Amino acid sequence: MKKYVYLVLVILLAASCVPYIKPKPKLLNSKTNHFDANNNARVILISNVKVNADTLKSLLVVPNDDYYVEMGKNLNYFNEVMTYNQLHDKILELGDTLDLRLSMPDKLKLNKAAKLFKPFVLMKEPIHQLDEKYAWASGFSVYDPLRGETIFQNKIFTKNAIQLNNKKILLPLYNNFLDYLRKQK
Amino acid sequence: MDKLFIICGLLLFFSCGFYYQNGTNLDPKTNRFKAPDNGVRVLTEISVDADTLKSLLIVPYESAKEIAKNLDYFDEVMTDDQFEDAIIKAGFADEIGSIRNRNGLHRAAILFRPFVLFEHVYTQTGSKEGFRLYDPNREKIIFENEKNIGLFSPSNQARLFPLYNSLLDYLRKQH
Repeated sequence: MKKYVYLVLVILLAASCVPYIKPKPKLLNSKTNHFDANNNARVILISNVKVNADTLKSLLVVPNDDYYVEMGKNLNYFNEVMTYNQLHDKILELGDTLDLRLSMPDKLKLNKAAKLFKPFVLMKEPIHQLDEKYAWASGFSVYDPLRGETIFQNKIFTKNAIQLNNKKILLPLYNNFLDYLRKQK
Repeated sequence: MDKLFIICGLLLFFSCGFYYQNGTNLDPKTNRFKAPDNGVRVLTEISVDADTLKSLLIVPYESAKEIAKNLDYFDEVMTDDQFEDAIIKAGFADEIGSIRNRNGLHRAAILFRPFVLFEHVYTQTGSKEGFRLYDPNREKIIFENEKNIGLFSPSNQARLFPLYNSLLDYLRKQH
């Protein structure tokens, strides 16, 4: 009896960890110059703003996870990629403070940080949530604190709330983001 | 055992019953939200210039924006972070610094444009709630009301309608 209980507990624990296991970062396919993904056509572009490419490439700031750092670098677009924590430390080094742990960070302080350090764009953590029509979706949102606007936003329906899967969800979002980046001049 | 079942059933019924969302628009007949007026106490009200008052209302979150717009009073309604974007776009980010503190809010009202802040306030015990309008130019609360939160108060927007009506009365009094 006890053995079964332990087995069930272990399975439940494993199942609860599944949503938090990030997929492995992938490289661009040298032939297609995109990431290998299944659902590229399913990505919906919500907003895109024309920006100056030189300023855009300066620095990408991503959520605190190796996956986002590696993928940011694998885009082969940005001069530099940093996590929220690294940016926080850098700003502290330069004599100011910046708290990116808040779900709604102080945008005026982000603007100040971009002027103090260097221009950057901020990628928000792609989260699963119900959209305005109660469908599960995820997507990227990239904010430019110097312009004071979200310069890029896309979306893909995820059909369930369980895992941010690479091929079906994240890589198509990245491909769509890549197309936007390459269009800027 | 049966009594417990009945009590649980009643409680469930009441909690589900209040989930029905009333519209969030003014009732065209009364020009107010559909709600009884009893129970609202006005704690503070200061006379202000209506033109400055209506200029811009800042609300803390997106869902408050819809009802604020339905008050049909303010020229513009924004959330905190939309306001921050507007400040950056207008080039006032450096001078204002941050609107997450009283001094920053005061600077924004003077340098950028007049506005009032809307707050939904709860007491520490959780037994009362109310609305507050803060004027960052005068650095004062210009309006504050409250009402008790009863045991069977609905958990949707309709619970707030009496508070909104009280706010509407104040806004319409200004000239």
